[in-house]
Amino acid sequence: MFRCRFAELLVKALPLRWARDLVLRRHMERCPHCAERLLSRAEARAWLVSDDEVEDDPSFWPALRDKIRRDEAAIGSCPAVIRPVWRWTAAVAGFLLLSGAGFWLYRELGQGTVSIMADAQLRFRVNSLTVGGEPAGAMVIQPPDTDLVIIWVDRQPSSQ
Amino acid sequence: MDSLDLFEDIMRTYRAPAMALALNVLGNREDAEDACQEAFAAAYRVLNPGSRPPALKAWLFTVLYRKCLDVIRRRRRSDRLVRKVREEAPDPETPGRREPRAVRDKLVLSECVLGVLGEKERLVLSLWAHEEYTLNEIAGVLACAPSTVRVHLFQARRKIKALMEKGHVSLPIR
Repeated sequence: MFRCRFAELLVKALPLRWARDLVLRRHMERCPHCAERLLSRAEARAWLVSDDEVEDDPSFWPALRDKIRRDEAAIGSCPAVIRPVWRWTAAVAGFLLLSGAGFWLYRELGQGTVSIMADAQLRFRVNSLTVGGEPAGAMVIQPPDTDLVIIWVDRQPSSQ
Repeated sequence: MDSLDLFEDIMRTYRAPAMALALNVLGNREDAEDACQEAFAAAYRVLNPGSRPPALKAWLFTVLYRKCLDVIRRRRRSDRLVRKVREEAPDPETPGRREPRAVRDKLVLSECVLGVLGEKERLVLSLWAHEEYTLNEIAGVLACAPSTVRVHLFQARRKIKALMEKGHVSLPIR
């Protein structure tokens, strides 16, 4: 009895479904005392509406069949197997369109980046530079295919 | 056999179990009819002429269960209005209700008891009791793990038995 109460508490308290399932499997379904406190199949059947208790509605099913027929006529002679093909075609077309747009954007943005990098040397201009109080020369270098910009400073030969 | 003939064959075979399941999950005829109509229409849309799909019943039950959930969601949205209308509605004896008295009484009685269960518990209990589905089969319908089904089933069986033990309800006479 203590075990049963403990197992019942665990089932109520455990937050994880798999843990509750473990307790149910280990104790509740094997313990005859606990099994008695569960609804049997026969008892459950007594509470539920069964197939043979469902009365055939004289109007519902024919109305549903007519509705399906009307829908079928509206769709036309297009058979059911064809319809999914249209969906796939639309999906593939959408994918191709998106891929094309993505490729075009990539190329456009990529070209923009290259042009900005190519102009890097033009964007840097050193007007005057002194090293140790003496005027110095400067050179802006950008190695090809990189975004690295090097500003090279050198003492002018005349100042040495 | 074209798809319409196949559909009619499927409808003849499964309409009673489908309606019973929907009634057990939803608890009233109008909602059950809505769910069945949507489920069978969905079944027709995927039928291929000449071939009967395998595991059709389980698949149909899965679709039906999802349609039941849709109906429940719609019902919750308009719950207040529906309740008010039903309270003001004429007695069930009046024409328009198509349910035979015995089934209607049982539905009302069952609803008092099954009302303590959630929709998943009702579905699990119904499939377990009437269809004698295994936990794995029910898990396939519910699209969840068998361990989850075990917990739902346990809770459903325990809740109703507890009501019976407390003497609040007794088994309906059949």
